[in-house]
Amino acid sequence: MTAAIDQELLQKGKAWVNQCSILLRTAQIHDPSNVAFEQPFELFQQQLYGLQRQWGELSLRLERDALFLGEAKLKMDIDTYANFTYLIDEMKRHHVGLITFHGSLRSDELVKFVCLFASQERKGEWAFGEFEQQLKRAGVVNVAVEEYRKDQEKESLEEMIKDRKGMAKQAYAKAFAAVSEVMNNVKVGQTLHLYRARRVVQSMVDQLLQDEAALVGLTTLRCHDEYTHNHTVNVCILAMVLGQRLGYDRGMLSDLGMAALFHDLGKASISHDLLNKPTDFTEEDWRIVRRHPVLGVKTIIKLKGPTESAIKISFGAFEHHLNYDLSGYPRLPRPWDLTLFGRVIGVADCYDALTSSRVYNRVPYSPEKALKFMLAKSGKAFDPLLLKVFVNCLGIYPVGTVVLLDTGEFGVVMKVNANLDKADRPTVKIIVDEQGHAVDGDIVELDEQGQGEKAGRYFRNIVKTVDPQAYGLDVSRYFL
Amino acid sequence: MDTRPPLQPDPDVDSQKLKAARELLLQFVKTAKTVRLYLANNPVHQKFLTDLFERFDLYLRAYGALRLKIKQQAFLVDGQMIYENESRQDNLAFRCYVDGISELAFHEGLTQRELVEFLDIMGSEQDPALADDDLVSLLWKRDFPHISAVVVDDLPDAGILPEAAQPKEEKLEELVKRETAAVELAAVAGPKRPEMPLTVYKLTDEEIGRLKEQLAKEQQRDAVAQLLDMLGVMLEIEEDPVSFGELLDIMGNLIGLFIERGDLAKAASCAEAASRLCDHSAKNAPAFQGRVREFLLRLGAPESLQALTVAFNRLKSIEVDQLTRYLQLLPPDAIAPMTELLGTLNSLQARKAVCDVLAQTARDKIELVAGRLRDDRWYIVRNLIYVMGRIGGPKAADYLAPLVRHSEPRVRKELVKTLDAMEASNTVELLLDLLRDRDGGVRVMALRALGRRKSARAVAPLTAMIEERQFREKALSEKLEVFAALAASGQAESMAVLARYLRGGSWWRRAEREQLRWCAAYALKQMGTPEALALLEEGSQGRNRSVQEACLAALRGTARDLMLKQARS
Repeated sequence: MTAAIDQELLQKGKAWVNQCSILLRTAQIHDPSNVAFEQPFELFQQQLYGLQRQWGELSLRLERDALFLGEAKLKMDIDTYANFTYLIDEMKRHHVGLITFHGSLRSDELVKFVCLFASQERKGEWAFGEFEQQLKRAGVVNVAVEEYRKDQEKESLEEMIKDRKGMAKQAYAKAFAAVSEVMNNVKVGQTLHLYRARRVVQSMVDQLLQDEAALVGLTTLRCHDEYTHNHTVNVCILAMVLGQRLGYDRGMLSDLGMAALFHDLGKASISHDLLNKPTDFTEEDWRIVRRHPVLGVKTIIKLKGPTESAIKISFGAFEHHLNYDLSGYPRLPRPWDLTLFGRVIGVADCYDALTSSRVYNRVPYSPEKALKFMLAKSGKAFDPLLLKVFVNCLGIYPVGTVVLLDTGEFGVVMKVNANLDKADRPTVKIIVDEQGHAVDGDIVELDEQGQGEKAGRYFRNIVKTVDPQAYGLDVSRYFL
Repeated sequence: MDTRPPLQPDPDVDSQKLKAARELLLQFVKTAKTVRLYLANNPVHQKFLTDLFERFDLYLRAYGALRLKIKQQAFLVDGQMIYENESRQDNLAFRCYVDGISELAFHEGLTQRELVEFLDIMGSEQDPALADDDLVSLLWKRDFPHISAVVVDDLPDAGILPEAAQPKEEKLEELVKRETAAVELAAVAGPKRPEMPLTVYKLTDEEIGRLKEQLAKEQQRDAVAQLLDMLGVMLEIEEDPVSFGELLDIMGNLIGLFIERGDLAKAASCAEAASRLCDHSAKNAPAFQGRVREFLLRLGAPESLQALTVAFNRLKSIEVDQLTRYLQLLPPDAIAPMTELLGTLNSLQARKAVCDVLAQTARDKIELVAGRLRDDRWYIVRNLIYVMGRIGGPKAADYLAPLVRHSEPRVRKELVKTLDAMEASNTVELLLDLLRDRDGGVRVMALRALGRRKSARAVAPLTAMIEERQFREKALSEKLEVFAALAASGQAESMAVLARYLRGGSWWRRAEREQLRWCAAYALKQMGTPEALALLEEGSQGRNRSVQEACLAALRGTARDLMLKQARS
């Protein structure tokens, strides 16, 4: 299969993989003679043959919690998320890392393959060998499977995290620089060039589409001197993470990223001293600070005109404090149809603000406390559906959370588990070993289970979360 | 270990490669121009694309990826220039250069579809005020599998982020001591799951459906309309007059931009949002109202309306309704510059729309239009007469009176038409004045208008006209019009005059008398009242043969034709 995959074909590929998952679920309940099996099977087969006509041999690969058709990574969105993660789990269960459907595949072979794959009997380290043998015995010769090598993947995961950390850090720093440049230009009334910022956002989108964990990890970075810039870059990343889950394409993610990056543009017109005031805000201070949404719109439209991107930025600027029920600010004299950008940025903005220790809010919330706080305001301050998706994106132990494990180790969550059923089993980096010593420990996946006697038992479990602030722990160091 | 000498580049291969690259680029440039000239279904368009793709395919198979280094006006391959263009127009290298692309590469496996889309992007001419996607962004969005671009990176990335602090030993000790308790650890050992701080939310199908609906709705959203709505709301809630004024300035700039683009609907929406503030209770203070007035004045300023004309004449797509909608929002101060539009707008429908708006806006400021009736350009005066007519009333007729003597007959014709449609009583005098116009067409129009007016005041002047010596010189058709006007007045006096001409007899100037008889008979038939018809019946049965003939012809409806036939012979 050529690497040149047309977007249209990719969409068809996604639909087929989705159907594959539906068929597997059906096959676990009904046998092929049941009419309930026929309809999803026929659709699956029809889609497969269609794709083979265009691509020839078709291969589905599992790599680091992501599915690939040939060389093309299949992007998950709200529609396909559940089915994709189900299929990933099934492939892991059988220790299958690659399935290749050859061109001469017959219908009866395909039925046999599906039924064997759907079988619940195999478990543990022998699962793959047994499955391969069963396929041979059943005469399935036009579907080839290869083993999923978790150990290899684990090594490459550590390398990948190391590599991508550098790239993410570079992108983060550039985004920071781009925001600083724009904000400073606004302050001194210079021409506003957004192309640098756009390039940076585009590079962040590229990274996000590859692997969001490294970039999300950087949102734990706290730069107290330049809170606004730090905050806007974080909001940009968090909004794009949410946008990605909603199924936004590259262009839309880039637009959303730009809108989020400049949602606080209006603060460039407010004095730095006021924004960084070490004491509580007075009523007058609040009155001024609450003008920043309107100031943001004025600034961007005045300086850039009604370009597509400026308009989208203006939505983010105007709406991010309005609240879902419009109870926020600015107070509006009539009903308002909030844009999706505004609602997404509103969620990301609040989360980062709560988890940050900005000057006038010295005690930051832990990630889970922030999410709980926000969930309590679901439907009022936040779009309830978007908030649910956001919680799912960040996981119940968001990236940067410090956890105590039942081994006595402490770890920092580096990556959430893509499978919602295992949301409590993220990937963590061990930072304190069993003896209580600070270590530059391994990165471990908490959904790893033992074999043999310990089959079905996890190696490590989370006991509780720990507030890193209380112990002066700066978790961002594990992402830098 | 490989002891062979390192491979030296083969000069023949290199020169062949460069030659092939040059030819390929040449073909690329030609194709880029051709696809812009011809529609996609045109065979020439398709042939060029197929040829280019085949050349690319051959090149990539023979030499591998084509890497083009980009200079300001040139493309280089392996350090050798293979394309140069000193002009900045239509220069592919320059287009890439200004957007910060330092290298473009085409890789093996390139598909024809990619090539077509790449050409589309290179050939796209975007309005910089509307779309802010540069070449880099367009290429990035498309994410070609076999075309890559290297972009100049001029943003610093080092030394900006703070270094994270190392954890302190004593703090870690405290962490371990306080947070780890054997009891807790034991409690979660095994497969049992600990209590989770949060719950994950598996979205239901219904929720996924709702989200998808929202995503689809977002795609349909008219972003510009929403922006204007947002600015409108911001104006409403703004409490600071200075900031309010700044917002109006932004609105003003947007209107200018929309007009330039020919988007009068958007310009009108902006203006509407601002003009609504005139009636807004929260904006009653003079500081706000003054600014709104200034804003609307600026919209109606000559230079603003000049820009409107330029856009309207340039773009055929602008709807006249939107022009009307926009002009209706302008204050009376804009009347004078608006009248200028009548001289500059090419479209007749557009000028008609301006007239209609002027009639509405100047209803209480008629003097502002009247002041422009002395304009040297007859075509503007003609349109303004129409406007005055639409406003109507005796005052309008008074302002129109001097135009009875206007040098241009088309103006006077418009005047008659307008006076005809006006109900004011003083218009009859003006129509009577126009009976003496030097242009026959104007006189006939005035006669017909007078006829429709059914005014007793017309009888005496018309009768006097018939009696005048000059009447004899008039064409028969005009004479008939005069009699018809007399008849149409429907007055008893008219009847008496017509009866006199019908019966009148004299040996002196007999032919003339006969013609007047026939005209009177014709007019009586036109009059159509029982009395008039009775008179004709009576005449048709009388002894006087010539009266009899005229009455019979009139009653049969052939009098006019017979007279005209006779006059021609």
